[in-house]
Amino acid sequence: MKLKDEEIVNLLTAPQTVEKGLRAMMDAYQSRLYWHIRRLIVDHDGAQDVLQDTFIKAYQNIHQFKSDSKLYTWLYRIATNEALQALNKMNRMKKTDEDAEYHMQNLVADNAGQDAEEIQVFLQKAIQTLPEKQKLVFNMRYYDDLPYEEISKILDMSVGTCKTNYHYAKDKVESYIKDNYSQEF
Amino acid sequence: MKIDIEKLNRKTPYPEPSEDFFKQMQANVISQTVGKNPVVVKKETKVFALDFKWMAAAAVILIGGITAFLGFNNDPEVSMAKQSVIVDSVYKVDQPIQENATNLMAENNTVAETQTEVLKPKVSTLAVASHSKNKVSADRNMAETQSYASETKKKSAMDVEKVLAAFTPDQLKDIDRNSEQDVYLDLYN
Repeated sequence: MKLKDEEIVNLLTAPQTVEKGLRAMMDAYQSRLYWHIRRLIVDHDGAQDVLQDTFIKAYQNIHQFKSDSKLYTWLYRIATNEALQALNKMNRMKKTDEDAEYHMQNLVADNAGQDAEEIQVFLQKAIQTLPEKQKLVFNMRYYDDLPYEEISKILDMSVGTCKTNYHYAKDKVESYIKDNYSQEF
Repeated sequence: MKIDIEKLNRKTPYPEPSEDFFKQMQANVISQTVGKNPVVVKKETKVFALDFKWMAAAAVILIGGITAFLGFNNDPEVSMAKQSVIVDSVYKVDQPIQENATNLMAENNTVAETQTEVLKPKVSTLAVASHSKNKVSADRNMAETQSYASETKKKSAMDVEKVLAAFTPDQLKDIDRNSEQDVYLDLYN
């Protein structure tokens, strides 16, 4: 049985039920957060580390959570920050942005499942070419189907900016697929 | 070719993680958070209000208790008598520690008499002195058999007599020859 956000927070804040609350929070959001992180990090092991850190941070800072916002919004925000930090660490190794982009595209190809559709692999490669903010807005809107209002809260930007970023991102992705997918077939 | 990504199946090309993945992840998180800092439930301790009446009663009992403890068995004569038994027992190795006062007197007299006979006439001064002393102490012992002071005096005199009795007449002659007469004894005689 899935608990409501309020119940989870209550369990987490009471010393006797903190473990129960932590497990309830992970049961409720681990899958969604994993895929959100995985699409950014691409590598499974890296995504696992970031997901763990996300829940640990959430546990450590639960007293900062404001009950007027949604728990998953707060968790998405932590997960996004952790994932971006991990990406920055990875990209520091690369000399240029092109090198980093190329590295991520190779990572997508390496991590794609055997039964994965080609168009989906191309879509992921196209997403890796996007600037950071567009990438985040696109992933949350396209894959997680989050409303713009929630995305704006998670990323600390206005709803209009989120919409604009999404449309730019969508055009770029479609153009990338059109250029590269049609070349191969 | 026109591509509309909105019409695509919104799947990620990456394979699903294994079933144990989330269990393992949860275990890792628990071990690094709750497992690291186990929750300690504090027990509420009872708080007793200190009332003035109870404090005063406790103080009185405490003072009474200390006074009774320190004042118990504090009679100086009794304690001295107890000590004397221990001290005297050092010198009386071959005799029981506690003896009847009257027995002591009788013994004392006989020893004193034999000593006076043996020592006559050469150590007469000493014998006479001890005899007179014994007589006085015997009288006193009769009156105050429980008195520690008289008992010890008598015992010490008796010990002297005993030591003298242990000597042979020849040894006593030698001692007499080699010893000087006590001027203080002469004064009292």
